[in-house]
Amino acid sequence: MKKIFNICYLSILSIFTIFVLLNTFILSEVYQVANNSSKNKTLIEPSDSEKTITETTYKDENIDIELKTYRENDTTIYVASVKGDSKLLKTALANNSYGKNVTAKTSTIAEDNNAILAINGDYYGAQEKGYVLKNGVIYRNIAVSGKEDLVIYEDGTMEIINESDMSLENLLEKGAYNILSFGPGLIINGKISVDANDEVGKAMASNPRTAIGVLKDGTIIFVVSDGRSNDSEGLSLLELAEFMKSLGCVTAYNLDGGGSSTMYFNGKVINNPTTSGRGTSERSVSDIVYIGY
Amino acid sequence: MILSILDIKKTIIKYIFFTIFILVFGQIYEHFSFGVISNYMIYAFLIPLILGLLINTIIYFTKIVPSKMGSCLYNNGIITLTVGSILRGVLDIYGTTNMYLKIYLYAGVLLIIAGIVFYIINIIKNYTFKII
Repeated sequence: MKKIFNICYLSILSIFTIFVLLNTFILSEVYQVANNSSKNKTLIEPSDSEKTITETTYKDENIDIELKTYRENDTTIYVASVKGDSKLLKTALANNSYGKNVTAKTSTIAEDNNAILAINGDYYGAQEKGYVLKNGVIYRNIAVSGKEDLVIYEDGTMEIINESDMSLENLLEKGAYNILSFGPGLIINGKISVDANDEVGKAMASNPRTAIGVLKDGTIIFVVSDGRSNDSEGLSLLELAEFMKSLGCVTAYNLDGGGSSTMYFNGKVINNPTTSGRGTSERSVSDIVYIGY
Repeated sequence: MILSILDIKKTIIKYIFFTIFILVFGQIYEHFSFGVISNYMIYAFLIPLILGLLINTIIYFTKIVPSKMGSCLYNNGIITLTVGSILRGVLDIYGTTNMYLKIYLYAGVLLIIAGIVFYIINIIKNYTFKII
Protein backbone atom coordinates (compact mmCIF):
# COMPACT_ATOMS: atom_id res chain seq x y z
CA MET A 1 0.00 0.00 0.00
CA LYS A 2 2.76 2.43 1.05
CA LYS A 3 4.85 1.50 -1.99
CA ILE A 4 1.93 1.99 -4.39
CA PHE A 5 1.13 5.39 -2.84
CA ASN A 6 4.79 6.41 -3.12
CA ILE A 7 5.05 5.36 -6.76
CA CYS A 8 1.78 7.08 -7.69
CA TYR A 9 2.60 10.29 -5.81
CA LEU A 10 6.16 10.58 -7.11
CA SER A 11 4.91 9.95 -10.66
CA ILE A 12 2.34 12.75 -10.28
CA LEU A 13 5.01 15.05 -8.80
CA SER A 14 7.39 14.31 -11.69
CA ILE A 15 4.73 14.88 -14.36
CA PHE A 16 3.60 18.10 -12.68
CA THR A 17 7.21 19.34 -12.48
CA ILE A 18 7.74 18.64 -16.18
CA PHE A 19 4.49 20.52 -16.90
CA VAL A 20 5.65 23.54 -14.84
CA LEU A 21 8.99 23.59 -16.70
CA LEU A 22 7.26 23.36 -20.09
CA ASN A 23 4.75 26.00 -19.05
CA THR A 24 7.56 28.32 -17.95
CA PHE A 25 10.00 27.91 -20.79
CA ILE A 26 8.40 26.32 -23.84
CA LEU A 27 4.60 26.29 -24.20
CA SER A 28 3.58 29.51 -25.88
CA GLU A 29 0.19 31.17 -25.73
CA VAL A 30 -0.90 34.35 -27.49
CA TYR A 31 -3.24 36.49 -25.37
CA GLN A 32 -3.59 39.42 -27.72
CA VAL A 33 -2.37 40.40 -31.16
CA ALA A 34 -0.90 43.88 -31.16
CA ASN A 35 -2.95 46.45 -33.01
CA ASN A 36 -1.27 49.76 -32.53
CA SER A 37 -2.74 51.68 -35.42
CA SER A 38 -5.47 53.47 -33.47
CA LYS A 39 -3.22 54.30 -30.54
CA ASN A 40 -0.12 55.25 -32.46
CA LYS A 41 1.35 58.68 -32.05
CA THR A 42 1.13 60.83 -35.14
CA LEU A 43 3.05 58.73 -37.59
CA ILE A 44 6.05 60.13 -39.30
CA GLU A 45 6.37 58.99 -42.86
CA PRO A 46 9.73 57.56 -43.89
CA SER A 47 11.94 60.30 -45.06
CA ASP A 48 12.21 60.74 -48.84
CA SER A 49 15.24 62.93 -48.45
CA GLU A 50 18.68 61.52 -48.80
CA LYS A 51 19.85 59.21 -46.03
CA THR A 52 23.43 59.02 -44.92
CA ILE A 53 24.24 55.53 -43.74
CA THR A 54 27.69 54.36 -42.66
CA GLU A 55 28.93 51.57 -40.37
CA THR A 56 28.43 53.80 -37.34
CA THR A 57 25.90 56.43 -38.36
CA TYR A 58 22.41 56.91 -39.74
CA LYS A 59 21.10 60.32 -40.68
CA ASP A 60 18.00 61.62 -42.43
CA GLU A 61 15.85 64.72 -42.04
CA ASN A 62 14.14 63.36 -38.91
CA ILE A 63 16.76 61.42 -37.03
CA ASP A 64 20.49 61.35 -36.41
CA ILE A 65 22.04 58.24 -34.89
CA GLU A 66 25.69 57.78 -33.99
CA LEU A 67 27.19 54.53 -32.72
CA LYS A 68 30.34 54.57 -30.60
CA THR A 69 32.25 51.76 -28.95
CA TYR A 70 33.86 52.23 -25.55
CA ARG A 71 36.19 50.12 -23.46
CA GLU A 72 35.62 50.38 -19.69
CA ASN A 73 36.17 47.90 -16.83
CA ASP A 74 37.60 45.32 -19.28
CA THR A 75 34.29 45.46 -21.10
CA THR A 76 33.26 46.46 -24.60
CA ILE A 77 30.32 48.85 -24.48
CA TYR A 78 28.26 49.94 -27.48
CA VAL A 79 26.54 53.30 -27.23
CA ALA A 80 24.04 54.65 -29.73
CA SER A 81 23.13 58.35 -29.39
CA VAL A 82 19.82 59.30 -30.98
CA LYS A 83 18.95 62.90 -31.77
CA GLY A 84 15.77 63.85 -33.52
CA ASP A 85 12.04 63.28 -33.44
CA SER A 86 11.03 61.33 -30.33
CA LYS A 87 8.00 59.93 -32.20
CA LEU A 88 10.40 57.47 -33.79
CA LEU A 89 11.14 55.89 -30.38
CA LYS A 90 8.88 52.82 -30.21
CA THR A 91 8.58 49.32 -28.79
CA ALA A 92 7.62 46.13 -30.59
CA LEU A 93 6.47 42.68 -29.50
CA ALA A 94 7.80 39.38 -30.80
CA ASN A 95 5.53 38.09 -33.59
CA ASN A 96 3.49 41.27 -33.05
CA SER A 97 1.72 39.42 -30.22
CA TYR A 98 1.37 39.70 -26.47
CA GLY A 99 1.50 36.38 -24.67
CA LYS A 100 3.43 33.80 -22.71
CA ASN A 101 6.63 32.43 -24.24
CA VAL A 102 6.00 34.42 -27.42
CA THR A 103 9.58 35.24 -28.34
CA ALA A 104 11.83 36.07 -31.26
CA LYS A 105 15.37 37.30 -31.68
CA THR A 106 15.91 41.04 -31.26
CA SER A 107 17.21 41.22 -34.84
CA THR A 108 14.12 39.39 -36.16
CA ILE A 109 11.67 41.70 -34.35
CA ALA A 110 13.74 44.67 -35.53
CA GLU A 111 13.62 43.49 -39.16
CA ASP A 112 9.86 42.84 -38.90
CA ASN A 113 9.38 46.46 -37.81
CA ASN A 114 11.91 48.09 -40.17
CA ALA A 115 13.92 49.28 -37.20
CA ILE A 116 17.00 51.37 -37.82
CA LEU A 117 18.33 50.86 -34.29
CA ALA A 118 17.01 48.37 -31.72
CA ILE A 119 17.88 46.88 -28.36
CA ASN A 120 16.17 44.09 -26.42
CA GLY A 121 13.43 45.33 -24.08
CA ASP A 122 12.12 44.35 -20.65
CA TYR A 123 11.24 40.68 -21.45
CA TYR A 124 7.73 41.17 -20.03
CA GLY A 125 6.98 37.50 -20.88
CA ALA A 126 9.28 36.25 -18.12
CA GLN A 127 7.07 37.88 -15.47
CA GLU A 128 3.43 37.34 -14.60
CA LYS A 129 3.00 40.75 -12.99
CA GLY A 130 4.14 44.32 -13.68
CA TYR A 131 2.79 46.96 -16.03
CA VAL A 132 2.92 46.22 -19.75
CA LEU A 133 2.18 49.29 -21.88
CA LYS A 134 3.47 49.18 -25.42
CA ASN A 135 2.90 51.96 -27.95
CA GLY A 136 -0.09 53.27 -25.99
CA VAL A 137 -1.80 49.89 -25.58
CA ILE A 138 -2.28 48.35 -22.11
CA TYR A 139 -1.54 44.63 -22.11
CA ARG A 140 -1.12 44.03 -18.39
CA ASN A 141 -2.26 46.16 -15.50
CA ILE A 142 -0.97 44.31 -12.44
CA ALA A 143 1.28 46.42 -10.22
CA VAL A 144 4.20 44.91 -8.35
CA SER A 145 4.96 46.57 -5.03
CA GLY A 146 8.29 48.38 -5.13
CA LYS A 147 8.91 47.75 -8.83
CA GLU A 148 10.68 50.59 -10.63
CA ASP A 149 9.51 51.25 -14.19
CA LEU A 150 10.75 53.55 -16.92
CA VAL A 151 7.87 55.55 -18.35
CA ILE A 152 8.39 57.00 -21.81
CA TYR A 153 5.88 59.77 -22.49
CA GLU A 154 4.45 60.75 -25.86
CA ASP A 155 6.79 63.75 -26.07
CA GLY A 156 9.82 61.49 -25.60
CA THR A 157 10.54 62.48 -22.01
CA MET A 158 11.38 59.71 -19.57
CA GLU A 159 10.62 59.21 -15.91
CA ILE A 160 11.33 56.42 -13.44
CA ILE A 161 8.34 55.64 -11.27
CA ASN A 162 7.41 53.06 -8.65
CA GLU A 163 4.46 50.84 -9.59
CA SER A 164 3.09 51.01 -6.05
CA ASP A 165 2.98 54.82 -6.24
CA MET A 166 1.13 55.28 -9.52
CA SER A 167 -1.69 53.47 -11.29
CA LEU A 168 -1.41 52.72 -14.97
CA GLU A 169 -4.55 54.81 -15.61
CA ASN A 170 -2.89 57.85 -14.01
CA LEU A 171 0.21 57.32 -16.10
CA LEU A 172 -1.88 57.13 -19.28
CA GLU A 173 -3.60 60.37 -18.31
CA LYS A 174 -0.17 61.95 -17.93
CA GLY A 175 0.68 60.85 -21.46
CA ALA A 176 2.59 57.62 -20.92
CA TYR A 177 3.17 55.84 -24.23
CA ASN A 178 5.57 53.05 -23.33
CA ILE A 179 6.50 51.48 -20.01
CA LEU A 180 9.58 49.35 -19.52
CA SER A 181 9.25 47.16 -16.45
CA PHE A 182 12.56 45.52 -15.56
CA GLY A 183 14.90 47.76 -13.64
CA PRO A 184 16.24 48.95 -11.45
CA GLY A 185 16.53 52.62 -12.30
CA LEU A 186 20.23 53.45 -12.67
CA ILE A 187 20.11 57.24 -12.65
CA ILE A 188 17.15 59.18 -11.26
CA ASN A 189 17.11 62.99 -11.48
CA GLY A 190 20.77 63.02 -12.42
CA LYS A 191 21.91 60.89 -9.47
CA ILE A 192 23.07 57.27 -9.46
CA SER A 193 20.38 55.25 -7.69
CA VAL A 194 22.06 51.85 -7.34
CA ASP A 195 24.94 50.74 -5.16
CA ALA A 196 27.23 47.73 -5.14
CA ASN A 197 24.70 45.63 -3.20
CA ASP A 198 21.59 46.72 -5.06
CA GLU A 199 21.55 44.40 -8.02
CA VAL A 200 18.84 42.89 -10.17
CA GLY A 201 18.10 39.32 -9.15
CA LYS A 202 21.00 39.76 -6.70
CA ALA A 203 23.36 39.48 -9.70
CA MET A 204 26.33 41.34 -8.34
CA ALA A 205 28.65 39.77 -10.89
CA SER A 206 29.69 41.31 -14.15
CA ASN A 207 27.31 40.47 -16.96
CA PRO A 208 26.19 41.61 -20.39
CA ARG A 209 23.86 44.57 -19.86
CA THR A 210 21.29 46.57 -21.77
CA ALA A 211 20.19 50.03 -20.71
CA ILE A 212 18.42 53.10 -22.01
CA GLY A 213 18.87 56.68 -20.89
CA VAL A 214 18.35 60.27 -21.83
CA LEU A 215 20.63 63.32 -21.73
CA LYS A 216 19.58 66.75 -20.54
CA ASP A 217 19.15 67.96 -24.15
CA GLY A 218 16.77 65.06 -24.95
CA THR A 219 19.30 62.86 -26.74
CA ILE A 220 18.31 59.24 -26.21
CA ILE A 221 21.11 56.84 -25.31
CA PHE A 222 20.96 53.10 -26.02
CA VAL A 223 23.68 51.08 -24.27
CA VAL A 224 24.63 47.42 -24.62
CA SER A 225 27.71 45.82 -23.09
CA ASP A 226 29.27 42.48 -23.93
CA GLY A 227 30.10 40.11 -21.07
CA ARG A 228 30.84 36.59 -19.83
CA SER A 229 33.74 36.21 -22.28
CA ASN A 230 37.52 36.47 -22.20
CA ASP A 231 37.36 39.56 -24.41
CA SER A 232 34.72 41.36 -22.39
CA GLU A 233 34.09 40.74 -18.72
CA GLY A 234 30.78 42.56 -18.41
CA LEU A 235 29.49 45.22 -16.04
CA SER A 236 27.89 45.26 -12.62
CA LEU A 237 24.85 47.51 -12.32
CA LEU A 238 26.86 50.08 -10.43
CA GLU A 239 29.53 50.14 -13.17
CA LEU A 240 26.79 50.49 -15.79
CA ALA A 241 25.21 53.38 -13.86
CA GLU A 242 28.59 55.09 -13.47
CA PHE A 243 29.27 54.70 -17.18
CA MET A 244 25.90 56.19 -18.14
CA LYS A 245 26.47 59.02 -15.71
CA SER A 246 29.80 59.71 -17.44
CA LEU A 247 27.88 60.03 -20.73
CA GLY A 248 25.75 62.73 -19.12
CA CYS A 249 22.50 60.81 -18.65
CA VAL A 250 19.98 62.45 -16.31
CA THR A 251 17.73 59.37 -16.40
CA ALA A 252 18.92 55.82 -17.04
CA TYR A 253 17.23 52.47 -16.66
CA ASN A 254 18.45 48.88 -16.72
CA LEU A 255 16.75 46.48 -19.14
CA ASP A 256 16.93 42.71 -19.49
CA GLY A 257 20.58 41.69 -19.67
CA GLY A 258 22.62 38.50 -19.74
CA GLY A 259 22.09 36.43 -22.85
CA SER A 260 19.31 38.78 -23.97
CA SER A 261 21.57 41.81 -24.41
CA THR A 262 21.54 42.67 -28.11
CA MET A 263 22.00 45.80 -30.17
CA TYR A 264 20.88 45.94 -33.80
CA PHE A 265 21.86 48.81 -36.08
CA ASN A 266 21.55 49.38 -39.83
CA GLY A 267 20.53 45.78 -40.52
CA LYS A 268 22.97 43.86 -38.37
CA VAL A 269 23.69 42.84 -34.79
CA ILE A 270 26.45 45.06 -33.43
CA ASN A 271 27.48 43.35 -30.19
CA ASN A 272 28.39 39.75 -29.33
CA PRO A 273 25.36 38.31 -27.53
CA THR A 274 26.16 35.28 -25.42
CA THR A 275 24.46 33.30 -22.69
CA SER A 276 27.27 30.98 -21.65
CA GLY A 277 30.30 32.88 -22.92
CA ARG A 278 31.09 29.98 -25.26
CA GLY A 279 30.32 31.43 -28.69
CA THR A 280 27.98 34.10 -29.91
CA SER A 281 24.28 33.38 -30.00
CA GLU A 282 21.30 35.71 -29.92
CA ARG A 283 18.61 34.81 -27.37
CA SER A 284 14.94 35.14 -28.24
CA VAL A 285 13.13 37.82 -26.27
CA SER A 286 9.57 39.09 -25.80
CA ASP A 287 10.03 42.65 -27.01
CA ILE A 288 12.39 45.35 -28.23
CA VAL A 289 12.85 49.10 -27.96
CA TYR A 290 13.66 50.65 -31.30
CA ILE A 291 14.02 53.68 -33.51
CA GLY A 292 12.18 53.38 -36.79
CA TYR A 293 9.38 54.59 -39.03
CA MET B 1 1.20 -0.76 11.06
CA ILE B 2 3.99 1.20 12.69
CA LEU B 3 7.63 1.49 11.64
CA SER B 4 10.42 -0.25 13.52
CA ILE B 5 13.45 1.53 14.94
CA LEU B 6 15.44 -0.12 12.14
CA ASP B 7 13.14 1.53 9.57
CA ILE B 8 13.79 4.91 11.22
CA LYS B 9 17.53 4.23 11.06
CA LYS B 10 17.24 3.49 7.32
CA THR B 11 15.19 6.67 6.85
CA ILE B 12 17.90 8.71 8.61
CA ILE B 13 20.56 7.30 6.30
CA LYS B 14 18.37 8.09 3.25
CA TYR B 15 17.92 11.67 4.48
CA ILE B 16 21.69 12.08 4.96
CA PHE B 17 22.26 11.22 1.29
CA PHE B 18 19.24 13.24 0.11
CA THR B 19 20.39 16.34 2.06
CA ILE B 20 23.94 16.05 0.72
CA PHE B 21 22.60 15.61 -2.84
CA ILE B 22 20.39 18.72 -2.59
CA LEU B 23 23.23 20.73 -1.01
CA VAL B 24 25.71 19.76 -3.74
CA PHE B 25 23.12 20.25 -6.52
CA GLY B 26 22.29 23.75 -5.24
CA GLN B 27 25.96 24.73 -4.98
CA ILE B 28 26.79 23.45 -8.48
CA TYR B 29 23.73 25.17 -9.97
CA GLU B 30 24.67 28.44 -8.26
CA HIS B 31 28.26 28.11 -9.50
CA PHE B 32 27.03 28.27 -13.10
CA SER B 33 24.40 30.96 -12.58
CA PHE B 34 26.57 33.98 -13.49
CA GLY B 35 26.34 35.50 -10.03
CA VAL B 36 22.54 35.39 -9.77
CA ILE B 37 21.74 34.19 -6.27
CA SER B 38 18.55 32.43 -5.20
CA ASN B 39 18.08 31.57 -1.54
CA TYR B 40 15.52 28.94 -2.60
CA MET B 41 18.32 27.12 -4.43
CA ILE B 42 21.09 27.64 -1.86
CA TYR B 43 19.01 26.72 1.19
CA ALA B 44 16.78 23.98 -0.28
CA PHE B 45 18.89 21.40 1.60
CA LEU B 46 17.58 22.78 4.91
CA ILE B 47 14.16 21.22 4.21
CA PRO B 48 15.34 17.57 4.27
CA LEU B 49 17.97 18.45 6.88
CA ILE B 50 15.55 19.88 9.44
CA LEU B 51 12.22 18.26 8.61
CA GLY B 52 13.74 14.92 7.59
CA LEU B 53 17.09 14.20 9.21
CA LEU B 54 16.61 16.11 12.45
CA ILE B 55 13.02 15.01 13.12
CA ASN B 56 13.77 11.35 12.33
CA THR B 57 16.84 11.49 14.59
CA ILE B 58 14.64 12.78 17.42
CA ILE B 59 12.14 9.98 16.71
CA TYR B 60 15.01 7.46 16.73
CA PHE B 61 16.12 8.51 20.20
CA THR B 62 12.64 8.95 21.69
CA LYS B 63 11.58 5.66 20.12
CA ILE B 64 8.04 6.97 19.57
CA VAL B 65 7.75 5.79 15.98
CA PRO B 66 5.10 6.83 13.44
CA SER B 67 2.79 4.61 11.43
CA LYS B 68 3.87 3.55 7.93
CA MET B 69 1.15 5.67 6.29
CA GLY B 70 1.96 8.71 8.43
CA SER B 71 5.66 8.40 7.62
CA CYS B 72 4.87 7.97 3.92
CA LEU B 73 2.73 11.16 3.81
CA TYR B 74 5.32 13.13 5.80
CA ASN B 75 8.25 12.07 3.62
CA ASN B 76 6.36 12.87 0.42
CA GLY B 77 5.60 16.30 1.88
CA ILE B 78 9.33 16.90 2.40
CA ILE B 79 10.13 15.77 -1.15
CA THR B 80 7.41 18.08 -2.52
CA LEU B 81 8.71 21.11 -0.62
CA THR B 82 12.30 20.36 -1.63
CA VAL B 83 11.45 19.96 -5.33
CA GLY B 84 9.35 23.16 -5.15
CA SER B 85 12.25 25.06 -3.58
CA ILE B 86 14.74 23.84 -6.18
CA LEU B 87 12.33 24.70 -9.00
CA ARG B 88 11.74 28.17 -7.54
CA GLY B 89 15.53 28.58 -7.45
CA VAL B 90 15.83 27.59 -11.11
CA LEU B 91 13.16 30.11 -12.12
CA ASP B 92 14.64 32.84 -9.87
CA ILE B 93 18.05 32.40 -11.45
CA TYR B 94 16.56 32.49 -14.96
CA GLY B 95 14.62 35.61 -13.92
CA THR B 96 11.10 34.34 -14.33
CA THR B 97 8.12 33.19 -12.28
CA ASN B 98 5.28 30.68 -12.51
CA MET B 99 1.95 30.76 -10.69
CA TYR B 100 1.93 26.95 -10.32
CA LEU B 101 4.90 27.05 -7.92
CA LYS B 102 2.60 27.72 -4.97
CA ILE B 103 1.02 24.27 -5.50
CA TYR B 104 4.28 22.69 -4.23
CA LEU B 105 3.95 24.69 -1.03
CA TYR B 106 0.27 23.85 -0.52
CA ALA B 107 0.70 20.14 -1.33
CA GLY B 108 3.90 19.82 0.71
CA VAL B 109 2.49 21.50 3.81
CA LEU B 110 -0.76 19.51 3.50
CA LEU B 111 1.12 16.20 3.32
CA ILE B 112 3.35 17.11 6.27
CA ILE B 113 0.32 18.11 8.36
CA ALA B 114 -1.41 14.85 7.38
CA GLY B 115 1.73 12.94 8.40
CA ILE B 116 1.83 14.73 11.76
CA VAL B 117 -1.89 14.03 12.33
CA PHE B 118 -1.29 10.33 11.61
CA TYR B 119 1.69 10.42 13.99
CA ILE B 120 -0.39 11.96 16.80
CA ILE B 121 -3.24 9.49 16.24
CA ASN B 122 -0.68 6.69 16.34
CA ILE B 123 0.71 7.97 19.67
CA ILE B 124 -2.78 8.23 21.15
CA LYS B 125 -3.74 4.75 19.91
CA ASN B 126 -0.60 2.83 20.87
CA TYR B 127 1.32 4.65 23.57
CA THR B 128 -1.61 6.01 25.63
CA PHE B 129 -3.10 2.54 25.71
CA LYS B 130 0.23 1.09 26.96
CA ILE B 131 0.47 3.70 29.74
CA ILE B 132 -3.08 2.87 30.92
